[in-house]
Amino acid sequence: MLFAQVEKTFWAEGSGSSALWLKILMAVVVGFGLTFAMLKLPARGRRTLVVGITFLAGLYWVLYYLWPQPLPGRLANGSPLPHGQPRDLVESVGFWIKDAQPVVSDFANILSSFLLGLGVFSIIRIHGRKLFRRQPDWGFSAVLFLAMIAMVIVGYVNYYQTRYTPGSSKLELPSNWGSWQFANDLLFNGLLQQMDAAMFSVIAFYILSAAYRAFRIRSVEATILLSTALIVIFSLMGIVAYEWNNAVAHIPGATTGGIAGNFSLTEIYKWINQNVQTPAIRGIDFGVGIGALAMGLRLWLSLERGGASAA
Amino acid sequence: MATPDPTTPKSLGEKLQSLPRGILYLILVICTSVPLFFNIPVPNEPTQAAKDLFNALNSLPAGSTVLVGSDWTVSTRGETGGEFDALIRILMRKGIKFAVYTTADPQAPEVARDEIVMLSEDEKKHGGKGVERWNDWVSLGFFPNAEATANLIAADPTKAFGSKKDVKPDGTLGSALSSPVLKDIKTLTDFKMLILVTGTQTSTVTIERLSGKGLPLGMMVTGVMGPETAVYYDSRQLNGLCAGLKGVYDMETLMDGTFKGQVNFGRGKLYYPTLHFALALLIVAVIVGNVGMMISRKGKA
Amino acid sequence: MNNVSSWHGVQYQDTGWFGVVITLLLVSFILINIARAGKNQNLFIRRIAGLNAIDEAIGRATEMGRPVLMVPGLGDLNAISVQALNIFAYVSRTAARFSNPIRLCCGNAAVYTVAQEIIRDAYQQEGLADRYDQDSVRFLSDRQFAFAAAVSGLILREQAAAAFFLGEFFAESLIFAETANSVGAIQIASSTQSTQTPFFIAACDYVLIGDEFYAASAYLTRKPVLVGSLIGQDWCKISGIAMVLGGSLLITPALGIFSQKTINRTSVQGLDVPTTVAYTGVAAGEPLRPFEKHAGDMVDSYVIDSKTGEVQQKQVPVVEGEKVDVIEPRLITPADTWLQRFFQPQKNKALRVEREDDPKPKEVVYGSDPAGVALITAASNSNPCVLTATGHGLKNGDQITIYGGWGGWSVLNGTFQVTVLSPDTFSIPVDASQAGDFKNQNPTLAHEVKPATEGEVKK
Repeated sequence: MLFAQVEKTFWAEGSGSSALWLKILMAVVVGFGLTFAMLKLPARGRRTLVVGITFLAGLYWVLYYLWPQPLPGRLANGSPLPHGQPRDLVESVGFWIKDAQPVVSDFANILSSFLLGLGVFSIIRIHGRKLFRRQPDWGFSAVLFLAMIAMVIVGYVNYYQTRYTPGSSKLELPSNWGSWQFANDLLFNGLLQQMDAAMFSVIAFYILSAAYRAFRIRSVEATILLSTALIVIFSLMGIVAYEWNNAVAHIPGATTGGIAGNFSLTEIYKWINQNVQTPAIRGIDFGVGIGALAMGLRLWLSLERGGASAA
Repeated sequence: MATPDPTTPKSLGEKLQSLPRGILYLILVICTSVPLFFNIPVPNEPTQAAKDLFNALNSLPAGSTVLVGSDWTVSTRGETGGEFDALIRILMRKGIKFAVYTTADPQAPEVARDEIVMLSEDEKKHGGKGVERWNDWVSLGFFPNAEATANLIAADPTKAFGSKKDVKPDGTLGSALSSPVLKDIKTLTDFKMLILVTGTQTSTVTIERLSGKGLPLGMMVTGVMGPETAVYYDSRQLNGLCAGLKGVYDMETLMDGTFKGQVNFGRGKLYYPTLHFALALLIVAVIVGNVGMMISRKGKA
Repeated sequence: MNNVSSWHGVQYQDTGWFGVVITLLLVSFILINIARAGKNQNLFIRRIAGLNAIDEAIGRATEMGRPVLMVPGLGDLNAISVQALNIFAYVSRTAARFSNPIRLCCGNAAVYTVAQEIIRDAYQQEGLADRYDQDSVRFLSDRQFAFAAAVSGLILREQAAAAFFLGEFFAESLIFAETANSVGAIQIASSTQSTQTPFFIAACDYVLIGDEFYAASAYLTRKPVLVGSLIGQDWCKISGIAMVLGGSLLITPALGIFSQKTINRTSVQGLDVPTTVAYTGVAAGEPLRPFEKHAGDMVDSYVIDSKTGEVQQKQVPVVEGEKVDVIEPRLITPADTWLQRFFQPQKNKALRVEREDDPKPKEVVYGSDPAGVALITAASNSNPCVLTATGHGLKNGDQITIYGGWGGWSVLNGTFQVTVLSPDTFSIPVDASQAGDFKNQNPTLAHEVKPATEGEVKK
């Protein structure tokens, strides 16, 4: 059984054609119909349906990662072999899974886009109430709405102008910008990016106050933590590293491979990095990875109880 | 967290332990701004990881194409911006073509483009060659799904980049795959190296999907991500690693050793003395806090 | 039809069947223990301080009459977020019982949608559906720092008394922790990113490190399925430890007194040649894929002789049906060959295979390792500069690159042709008379193996 590579699916119609709109309408109607049908299901049937859909959705990705992906078909000089010539069942399933990947990830992308709408609705509800009932700090809610509307409008107009108007490739260069491009630049690069950078820089102050407040030598572990941190900080400071290595180099045998050479700052830091830090991070990463694997399995097989599933 | 009794005067120990945050922040602002006005030379020995990355870049043959992942934006420009500068300067001077792509942030392609244009102008001003869009480098834009993109690049770069268009010197758009940079790329290993400049999680995604496929990998990350990425350098999945502000200064020092007489120093040299002062202040703050604690303890005992 | 099996998928070219088997083994450990767990109710989990403190934190918040703040991190709707929401469902149930207001701030719309349902269900399960405030679960922003600013503002305005930061956090973790601390909140945090865990440890009261986050749902609810899964995870970790120990034992015979002459080299990469993952021999006349050669084709291979450390280059024919893999040329130890024979029986030993028509790669040897090419231990203040490197093994006309010299000795940085003066010294055409004291310099010597005409020194 060999599947030919399907070049044209049922849904593939010309962009903007009436056939495409008809199929979109059909899909919407069928979607609503299915939703109402599911709401009418009894509770037990609903749970079985949810478990089944979860399993199928997860099954695709499990197969994607485990089923052998067909080897790329190209001749040695780079020209492609005729596309879609699976030799046996294994390869045809492999081709089918690989070709379905953009479609399946599109499902997830489309869902997240609609969910973003729900999130925005939450913001509008909370801040709209503040604004209209003049609750305390309603001025900030007004600013939020202004900013949101401005960014949406400017973003969309700029996007439309730089993609869909004729001659839009010229707008890549700043010398050809119109006022909408300048507004986009001001809002996104001038305000948003710089505010991101400012918030990131604020972390420096917080690090200082956290270190001042929290690093106390109260126990043996705290002392070890503090001394290791000091060594790592010193190794970042070039002047201190230079002076320290200088001092160690005076000890006889340090520079010619004797044991005293192990006490230069770079060597100590390397030891901490390779023998303490790296294995610790690896250990934590292994544990976290296995935990994520177990969690994923429980979600896929609907074994998770409490909270995230209808149990 | 016991609230101290406001009526008894604070002992020295308690005062030392509870300096007002405002004072600390003010001292930090002074410590980090003042060194920017002075040119303080600081000795530096590059780490082995930075040396390996530099050597890997240095031994690429002229005319080859590398893939540059640029997943950083303005918020981390002190570290990743400096690293990106060093990387592009090296690629420019070695005559290596590069294709820039992003999987992390929609703003990142523009940040990268602006930076490359600025560096190219700077290079030309100092007598160098600079790089020209389309002929020497292409911008492949933003890819929304990091994992799927990395998978696709590993399997078939022509499919991954097939739909991307870039601007030709005459202003029209053309398919990126037909540019001089990418026209000989058919499989993953036609790229000579992949260097990822990132401040986000895309480093792990890239290593997951693209290591072990015959493509040398190099990473340039923020200081905070240094230890966790060093794990992969240690296991030789990465050919080189450059982490944080010290990494930037390491790369600039190494560039200075090889490209004599050209502009090598940038953000690394400018910010490295500041780092010293900030770290010194951190150490002083910790010492003051601990001294305060010990005085309090002795007072109580 | 060529005879590469269709089961040899693209994703298995570096692990072979071994990766799949290990993955399925770990999965089976977890599933087996989930199945076993139904029978035994009293399985032991060690004490996790952060989870014990949840009730204390909520109690404190109730006393002070201030809300409980929960942040499930910035990530998408994945296993981490779902686990965070499970823990928050538990927290909300406790808070609901005490009529304590909660604030759950989401940085992702999908997580927000699921969180709403979960928290509403939690209130319903306690029979307190009327106490549920729809605005207690809110979506703030999906941009990292906008979210950080919004949450900080919320903490300061509402004066949260207990703060839970569980999930995927990135750079903004310290902003949350410090802001919560400044209003006197008790904080319980966990980040699966090893990058952010140190920040939480410094700033928060209780931290769940790494795997304890995933153990939380089992710990809090003690449901058999969850505890069974936890035990399965422990089995997986034990097998990981066993593999690490086993690997160390296998490699030990190659080290120390049992080893042959060791050469510390970093991995040799000929970066001007494309490398492919595998070459398979294909019958003559068949079309070739990039990783295939016709049977009988000769390819270059490089082998490092472990006894002498020499790099030998020879031509090897590709045999039909046999796979010749590319491995980093490195020290061949008895354990290596034995391991290779065990896992991939058809592999040839440590061959590096390039395409015939490609230029030969250059091997760059880094001389900063003490056991390899010697260190530059001294340099004279003269012109030309005479460098001392014991046993350097260079020949007249070889090209070396030095970098890492600083201060006055930065004149050493660069690529030079070498004139050998003795087995321990050589000179380079550099004027070092003004360079000062050589003490504390540690320049690195990179030696490009390029054939030099014996006796000819090029300037």
